[in-house]
Amino acid sequence: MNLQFADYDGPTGLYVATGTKLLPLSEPAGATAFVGAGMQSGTIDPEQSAQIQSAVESAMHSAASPLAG
Amino acid sequence: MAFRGETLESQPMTDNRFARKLTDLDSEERQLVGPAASAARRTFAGFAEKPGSEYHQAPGLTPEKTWKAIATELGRVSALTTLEGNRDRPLEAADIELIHRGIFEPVFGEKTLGFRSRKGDEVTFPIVVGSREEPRRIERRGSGGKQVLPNLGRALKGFERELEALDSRRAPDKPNVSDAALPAVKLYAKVIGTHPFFDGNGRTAWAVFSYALQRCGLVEVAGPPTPATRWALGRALRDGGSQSYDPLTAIVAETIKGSSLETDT
Repeated sequence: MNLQFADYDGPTGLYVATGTKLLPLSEPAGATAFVGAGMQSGTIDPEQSAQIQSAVESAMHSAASPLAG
Repeated sequence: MAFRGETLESQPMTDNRFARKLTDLDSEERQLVGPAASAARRTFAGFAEKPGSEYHQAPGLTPEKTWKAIATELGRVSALTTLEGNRDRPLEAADIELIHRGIFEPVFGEKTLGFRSRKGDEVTFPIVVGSREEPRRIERRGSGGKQVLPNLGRALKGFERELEALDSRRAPDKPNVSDAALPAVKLYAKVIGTHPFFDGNGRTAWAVFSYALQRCGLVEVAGPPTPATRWALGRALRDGGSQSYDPLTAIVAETIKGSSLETDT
């Protein structure tokens, strides 16, 4: 569905919003944020959520780095 | 306990579009599935579900390797559901079992759970209730086993009706992001509230949510499950007068509106 919004004029579709960045899903950082959100979904244990969030932030940082292997 | 085969015997795994191998995907699907699976393999090693859950440990794998394998499959299947939503294809209730099987069957094989379907197939799960300032956890009951399929069918029909209404809105009555996010949030909460399986409901529901956000003309959303998010999900899952989808919808809308493309400077 292609909608025009009254309060948003950014791109839609195959991106992931992190709250600050809008990342293409097909790029490593976007894919990391995307899968990370899934692993944290629903009713997962809060302590484990913190571990996952830390792993996601670390992976997003390394995925965004030009030095990432 | 309902294992695979008890509820979808007419649909063997080869007919499951969410279980296709990389070689069977089209180029657009491969473009999304490859990075998602790679990100999962790189990022989610070392964690594991709590002992006692159905998907804690697969035959022949450690709990950590089980977790990592499921993460990889979740990335693959979520990429496929996202594209299915982006291509505007309606889902049926039985598709939710296919999505679940797509995630867990490559790891658990014949031990993969099917829909709860019998009268005695009961399940409870924790939700956050109380005020924002003083949240507390309670156990909520999922739908009765016999109500799983009808409840999911009603949720998906309601979702399609809301999409039609959304699609009819044009200038000067353009919707806000929250108007578009509401049907996706409702569907997500209804899948979690129904709790169709004995385990893996959050991951299955999230793949459905990824699908729904695309159908609603939005983008995917990532964010930590903060106390505020848990409380908002709890509001959506409550019974009675204090139930509301608005707090979770607001979080989704603000996450989208607060995000922008990085540009080279």
